Amino acid sequence: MKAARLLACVIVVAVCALSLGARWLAPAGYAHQFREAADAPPSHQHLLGTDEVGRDRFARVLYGTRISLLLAPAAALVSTALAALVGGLAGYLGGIWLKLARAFTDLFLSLPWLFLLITVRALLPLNVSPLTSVLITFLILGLLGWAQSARVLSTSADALRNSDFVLQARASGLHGPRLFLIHVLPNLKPVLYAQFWISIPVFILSEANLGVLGLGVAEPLPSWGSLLRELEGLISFREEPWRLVPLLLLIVVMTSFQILLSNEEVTA
Amino acid sequence: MLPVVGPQLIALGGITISIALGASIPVESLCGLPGIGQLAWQAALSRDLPLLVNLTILVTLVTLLANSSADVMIHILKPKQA
Repeated sequence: MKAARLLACVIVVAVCALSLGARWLAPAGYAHQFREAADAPPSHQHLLGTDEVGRDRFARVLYGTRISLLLAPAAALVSTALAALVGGLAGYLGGIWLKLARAFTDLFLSLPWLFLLITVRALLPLNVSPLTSVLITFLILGLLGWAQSARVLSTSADALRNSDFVLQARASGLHGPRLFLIHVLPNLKPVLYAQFWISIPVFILSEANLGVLGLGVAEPLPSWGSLLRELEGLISFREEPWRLVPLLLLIVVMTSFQILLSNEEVTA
Repeated sequence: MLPVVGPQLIALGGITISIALGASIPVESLCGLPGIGQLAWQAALSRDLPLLVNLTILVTLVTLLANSSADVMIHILKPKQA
């Protein structure tokens, strides 16, 4: 088990390092079209061949990994902050606020996640610049993904509110935001970290889902979702097995994340 | 054995329905199968918001129905306490 976790850690770190080194590993960039070598098989120049307009697949995988692996944690940060605000405050205030927040999160959780995502995505303009589409995609994920974490956090904050040391702090005259910031929030930290780490694979998968549906990151920017979308036109993967690389990468990285997160400290 | 794990299995069945409905979007749109998932996908691409909102509410209703009926079934099947 320990060896598996070490291997998973190495894989995640290696994939991150490779994607960060995209500028040097693939100097031509993700959008440069090698017109004379379109739809080429893997060669020395193009490690994974080129797509139908001649863009280097290897470069696109590297840059796509960079976008997916950097922005999923950013979205997780947004959602965890929102969850801390809603869940933490509700649990800390207790009473009617806790009930209201619980009812609201329950309502939010009962909405189907993917349906909610594509509905909100369709609310916003679809033909925007690639950079805006990236921001929209991950902001939606961050702003909609807080409910589950808020639910967990409100329970922990509720337990903290009734704990002895908060009672003593209150008896000593500490109250309001100071009590929340000094005594409650630091004690919520382990739960916050856990929720942050758990959100990352969820957001990576959601982005891939949106991308496959054509509602995620727009061309020519690559991401794991839009790279998977190119598999749609695949006729026979026996003839072109290298096109499955983005899919394999997604599976390997997600598996590594799950192995890393199966640690009891993290999921507790 | 079955009475012991029964309630958990029924509850799991209730949750699975909502997961299956969510998975229907990518599966149906990629495989070209007509259904709620493909309808939602096409509605999203053509920005047909009323249809999308109604589909979302419909799926929510089905999910709630599945979960509630799972709860009711668990209650019915629960061994009577003397």
